[in-house]
Amino acid sequence: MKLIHSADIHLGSKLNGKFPKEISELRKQEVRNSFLKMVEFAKANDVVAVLLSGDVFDEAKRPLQKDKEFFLSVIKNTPSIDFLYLRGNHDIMEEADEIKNLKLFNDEWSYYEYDNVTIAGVEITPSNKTSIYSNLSLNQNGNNIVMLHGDISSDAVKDGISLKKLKDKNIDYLALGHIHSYSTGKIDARGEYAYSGCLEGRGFDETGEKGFILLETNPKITHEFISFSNSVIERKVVDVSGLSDAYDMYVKILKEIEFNKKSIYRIELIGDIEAVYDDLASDVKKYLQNLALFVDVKDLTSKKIDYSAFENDLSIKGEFVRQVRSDKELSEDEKAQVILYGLRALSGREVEE
Amino acid sequence: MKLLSCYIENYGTFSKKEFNFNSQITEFNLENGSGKTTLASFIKAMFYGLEGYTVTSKTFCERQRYAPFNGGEFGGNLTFEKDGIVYKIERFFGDKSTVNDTLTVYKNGEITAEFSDNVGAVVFGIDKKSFERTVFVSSDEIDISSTESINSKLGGVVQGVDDASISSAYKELELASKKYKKMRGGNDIITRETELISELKIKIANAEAIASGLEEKYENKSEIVKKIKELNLKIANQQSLNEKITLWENYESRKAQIKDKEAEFKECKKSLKNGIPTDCEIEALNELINEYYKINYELELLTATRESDEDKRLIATFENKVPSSDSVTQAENAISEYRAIASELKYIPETVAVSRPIENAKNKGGALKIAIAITAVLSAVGVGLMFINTVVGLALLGVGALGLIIEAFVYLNKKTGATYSDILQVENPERRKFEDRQNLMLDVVKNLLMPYGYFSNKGVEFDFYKFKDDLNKYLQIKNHFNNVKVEVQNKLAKKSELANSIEREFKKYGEYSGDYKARLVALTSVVARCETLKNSLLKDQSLLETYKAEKALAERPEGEFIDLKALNSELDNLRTQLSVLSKQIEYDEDDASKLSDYLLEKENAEERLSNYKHRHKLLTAAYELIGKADDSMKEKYISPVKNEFIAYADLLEKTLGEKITMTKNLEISYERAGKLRTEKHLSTGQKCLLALCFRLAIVKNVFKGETPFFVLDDPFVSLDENHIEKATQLVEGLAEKHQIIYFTCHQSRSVIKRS
Repeated sequence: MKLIHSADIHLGSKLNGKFPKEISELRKQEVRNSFLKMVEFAKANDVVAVLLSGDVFDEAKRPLQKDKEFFLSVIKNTPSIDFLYLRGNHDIMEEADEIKNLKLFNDEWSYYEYDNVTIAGVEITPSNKTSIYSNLSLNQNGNNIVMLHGDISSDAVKDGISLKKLKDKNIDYLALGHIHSYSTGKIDARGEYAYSGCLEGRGFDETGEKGFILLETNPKITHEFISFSNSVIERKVVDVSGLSDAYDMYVKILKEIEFNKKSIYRIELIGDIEAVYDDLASDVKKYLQNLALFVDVKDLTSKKIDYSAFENDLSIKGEFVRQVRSDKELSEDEKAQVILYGLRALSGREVEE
Repeated sequence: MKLLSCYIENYGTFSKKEFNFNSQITEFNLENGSGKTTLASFIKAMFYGLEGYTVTSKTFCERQRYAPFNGGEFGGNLTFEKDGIVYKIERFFGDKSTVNDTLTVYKNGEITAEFSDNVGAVVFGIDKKSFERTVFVSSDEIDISSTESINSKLGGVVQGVDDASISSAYKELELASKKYKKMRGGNDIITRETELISELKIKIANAEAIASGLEEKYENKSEIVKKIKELNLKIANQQSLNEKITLWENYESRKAQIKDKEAEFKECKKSLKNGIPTDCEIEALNELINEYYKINYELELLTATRESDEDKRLIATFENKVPSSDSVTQAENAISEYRAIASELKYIPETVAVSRPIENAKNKGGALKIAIAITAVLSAVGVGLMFINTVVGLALLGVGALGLIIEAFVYLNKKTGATYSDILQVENPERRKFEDRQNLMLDVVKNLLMPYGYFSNKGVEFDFYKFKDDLNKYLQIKNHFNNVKVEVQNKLAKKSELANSIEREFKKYGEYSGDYKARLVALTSVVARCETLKNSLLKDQSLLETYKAEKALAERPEGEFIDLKALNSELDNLRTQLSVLSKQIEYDEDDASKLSDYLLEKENAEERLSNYKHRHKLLTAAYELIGKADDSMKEKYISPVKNEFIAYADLLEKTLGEKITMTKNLEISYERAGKLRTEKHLSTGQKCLLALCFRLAIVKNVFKGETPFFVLDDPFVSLDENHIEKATQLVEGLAEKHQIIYFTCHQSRSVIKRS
């Protein structure tokens, strides 16, 4: 029997951070499309049930009507598959929608049986947060899956889960939601936990491959991460030390990064460079913008001014550089920029190019 | 650099005029209006050109002033030497604008393109204004303040480049800075960004208001959904109850119908007294009735048998007077004998004489009486039978009546009986004998036939056989009717027996009117009805039980049947409300969902604003630091100018009686009565000398390499004799290193003469 473990879909979510509106909207649609694709995958692979370990919706208080309607419509139109929906901290469905293949959980343990597998789940609330562990009852001889939404790193936080207290509870697989990256580990000698991560990265804090986990339950529960996202978000750091031209930097970036047209990149430029650009990131970005779905360039370089070159310059330029250097209020980067402006102005050029 | 010569084609008052210049001082001592200023202007115009003008121009410019008085081509050429190279500038000017101006520069006799239109700027490194304020000194009041161009030149001299310009640097920085923030007007990036942020704040506030309003709408929606669910449940429950009630009522209705049917069946059954006859019993009864009617039919057929007229005649003839067979045989024998006699008579002669009377039979009266009695009896029996069987009664009565008529006829005939007599004269007695015998035989036959009326003209023999035949027929008829009678009697008996049986059977099941068939039909109908009712009842009861079991109808459901119309209407109303609210929520969500866009946009705008402000700050810093550098430069490099100026000014100090100073901005001031004053407090003559000194000091510093010529256009017009002397000394000193083109209109101001 096959099951899918997914979580943190965040329907209705746009990209976090400063993205162009059209990219943000596109990604919002891609989140929906990925959910649909996952359901299609489930149908094509005879998956019996999809385990949704919370945060299906993005809205903090309650899902948007249209997102909820979309979600329920997908479930209604997929009657062959059960959807076990553990509402997470972002999903509040006050209306009890009666859809046969939508199985819900509440603040007490609920158990669903599928062949030789028992799937248990509970929605963690402040009031049951400490009691859920002792109330969990699973057959020692069965295949047991537990669904929870929270953070296993510390049970002291609001959404914290105590992995320690889940030890020796006959759990074979702990289907977790909340953390947006795939990760897995041992609970005890018997069981493993896994965060499926989100289906699509939604910002530069959600980089890397995204997808869901495919579970096989016969005879024992095994799991496999299925990389599924439409677009991958990547963060790359490139050292451009010593380069003074945006094109040279672009060439270096190309050498270090193999761009995927469907992916989203943030290129972080580091290193010491000459203060010749007042908007280096923008200039480099112009070269890269057609290589991927979206490329963001962040200039984290340190701008260096060769003050020694101006030491014997008796001209107004030399005097200006010396004046800037001796300024107490400006930072080094600011000094570099001020010098750039001043020298351009004194050379009769436009200050901002 | 030295001016060598110039040729004026047409310029002001000059036309086709050539001037040559000395390497030191070339003085043009000309009267007013003779063209000294024109020549000075021409030299300047050759280097810098002339500004164009329009009809709306308010100032009277040089192009207007020096347009050829006598017409002709406006312009000329100027030859100068610089760094050992001879250049010739050839310029011609259009009427008003510069569009038609032409410029050709020759370098050692060859046309060169190394100069732009503004030859002066290239040659001197200063603009026209600076030229006017440095090497071109006119008699007009001199503004001795520094110009940006001079300052720039000073810096440029120091750094060894020509294009450096602090003023342009300021302008560029100011331009860049103003792009971000203007002092006034607000049409700058920071203002626009600030306004955008304000607009976004408003949008955010609106979106937040919409978002917060959504909560209430969500709650309303939840409430409506809840109501719909409750109402759906209520409707479903009521519908279920309604269905149950309907089922129950249907059950009860059917039960009542069964009860009615039971009563009907009971009534039906009651009418059958001894219960419902079986099919066999009915069949048996039916057979009895059929048998009865069959016999009855047969009786009808039998009693319907009627005598034909011939039968009636025969009956009338022979009823109650059937001759004995002996008499018939006797008559038949008599016929035979008669025939035998007749045969013999053929051989016996006829003639004999005999006569004798013949009497009528005397015994006839007794027979008639018997016949009358028989016919009377027949008639009486006929009348009696009429009450039993009309046909038979009438037949007997008819026969009786006919017999009486015949007997009456016979009686009357007897009363009037005649006596016959035969008169034969000569008759053969033998023959007579035979004839008598024959007659006797005839008489025998006739005697037999006479009572029955058989006599015809066809002869006795014929009559006899007719009689015999009729008799036989009669006997057959009589036999037949006798048989019928017996059969009728038998059948009547059977019929009666059957009727008794039938009556007996009917009495078992009740009273029914009509004939047996009708009664049987009625009985059968009742039985059938009973059977139908019984079967129907059983079926209905069975169905009802099944229905009850199937519908699980244990007892009447509690509650009342309620028409769902009102509830459904309420449900429709709620659904409409939900639809409207959902649409509103959808719109609001769309608007509210823009909140994140607005927030992001605002965040971006704020970041941009911060960036712009930072840039503005850095631009301002650059501006200020260039200013500082400029100040520093001035502090650093003004001294030579100041020193130079003071060197020149020392010459004048005694004359002026003031201590001359120069600020870092190259502004000249002097002390008087302990107060620092500007040059504006000086006399025009004093100013003129100071200006000259300043010019000389600046030129000395500005042109560190080859210095240009000086054009002095009668600058000392305001000086008195003493000042003229000083000025002459200055010019002489100047001429040692610089070419001087000196114009004056008065010999008293001639520097040549004095030197």
